[in-house]
Amino acid sequence: MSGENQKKGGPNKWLTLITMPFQMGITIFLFHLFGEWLDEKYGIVNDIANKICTLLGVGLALYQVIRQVHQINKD
Amino acid sequence: MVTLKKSLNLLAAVIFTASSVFSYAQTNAQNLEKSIEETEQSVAETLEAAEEANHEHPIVEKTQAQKVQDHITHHLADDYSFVFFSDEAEGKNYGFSLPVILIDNGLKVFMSSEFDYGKKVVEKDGQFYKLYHGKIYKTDAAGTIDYDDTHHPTNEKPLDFSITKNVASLLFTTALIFVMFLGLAKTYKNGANNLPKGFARALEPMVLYVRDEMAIPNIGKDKYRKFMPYLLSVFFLIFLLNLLGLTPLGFNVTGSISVTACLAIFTFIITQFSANKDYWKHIFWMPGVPVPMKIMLAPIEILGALIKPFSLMVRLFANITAGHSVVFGLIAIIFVMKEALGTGGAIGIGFFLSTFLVFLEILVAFLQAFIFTMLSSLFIGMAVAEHEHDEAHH
Repeated sequence: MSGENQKKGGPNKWLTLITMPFQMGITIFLFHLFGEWLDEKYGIVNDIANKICTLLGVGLALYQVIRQVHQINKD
Repeated sequence: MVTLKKSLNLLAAVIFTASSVFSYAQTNAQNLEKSIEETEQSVAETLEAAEEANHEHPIVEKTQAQKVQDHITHHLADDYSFVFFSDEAEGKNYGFSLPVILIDNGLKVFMSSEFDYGKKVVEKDGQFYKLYHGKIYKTDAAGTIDYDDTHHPTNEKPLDFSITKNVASLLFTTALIFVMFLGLAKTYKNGANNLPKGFARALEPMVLYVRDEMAIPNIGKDKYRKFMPYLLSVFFLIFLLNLLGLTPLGFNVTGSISVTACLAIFTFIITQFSANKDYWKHIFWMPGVPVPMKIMLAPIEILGALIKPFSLMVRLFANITAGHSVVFGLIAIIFVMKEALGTGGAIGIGFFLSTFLVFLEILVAFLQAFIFTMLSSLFIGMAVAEHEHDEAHH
């Protein structure tokens, strides 16, 4: 039975997520850079834009993971 | 009551005494901070001076650990010659040199032995070249190298098409793969049901493994055939290069980021050019999510398409580089810890640990080849997959 599962892409399908750490890290980092740029450009005090953008990046990165896991479970 | 009063007095006294200590501590801390700053500054200055001195007089006696460090760095970088071992006392290197091919006002070809491992300046048609820290620079007759603020040479570099150590290793491995697989292919040519003979018999299961465990489950039965040549080449090339990297020949091809970058770029190009409509739709207009999310996800998905080959590149490079450094470091125990452990003990421990790690590296050699091929087939599979269920839902 487990062999049958493997043929259908059982454990292998989780390998899709192996690039996720890279992707999350880079997404968050780019959002952080964008926030920093916004702060600089508009002279926002307390780095508010940076904080908001970084959190947004974290949220989007998480959303991506959840969406992909959802997709894998559906298949 | 009396005791309370007494204790209150005591408390006041303690606080009074302590306050002076605190204020003293504060000034003391400030003084300490200042002196630390000063020390740091002077240390930095001394280090700078030492570094400068080091660059001006490179023949400063190095410690054993530094020598080991240099040796590892040298091994991990590409080179213009193969050096199997060297005699430090006599300054001799045993190995062979490789051809240097430069394009700089015409083609210039000579053997790297003319550099004498960076000790000599080579003159070709009135142009002088110097090998400095593994790179060839244009220079003058005296071999002057100019530095910028960070001690990097600012001399111009000629266009370099040399057969370096990595190129030679790659050519050798390619030839080896050709010899191995021509033998295997010949048996099938003679008859569909022939059994491969000799060494080829060991290769057949691995080919089948790549097909049945990687290509078919990830790409699908209908489409896998087109991608088999690439997956097989990449699997056997990486596997063989990793294994040869463990021999004393000194190969470090898969631990060179340009090689892994090239392999990753191949996977990227094949993925992008074999992708179907669904793949692009999933990147630019993700089905099944609200419209604002679609707009947000498009740039991230584009980023994701680039990150996939990037992670392939870094994974292979980092694993092999780390493996080589650690094996070298453990072998170096024999030299570095000779005094602490005694000659026999150092050799025993160094030998035991490095043997253990080499076995681990054999596993890593296979694992990295496996994971590179597996992920390549997975990415290709994701690009060519039909998403019927998505179409049905919307």
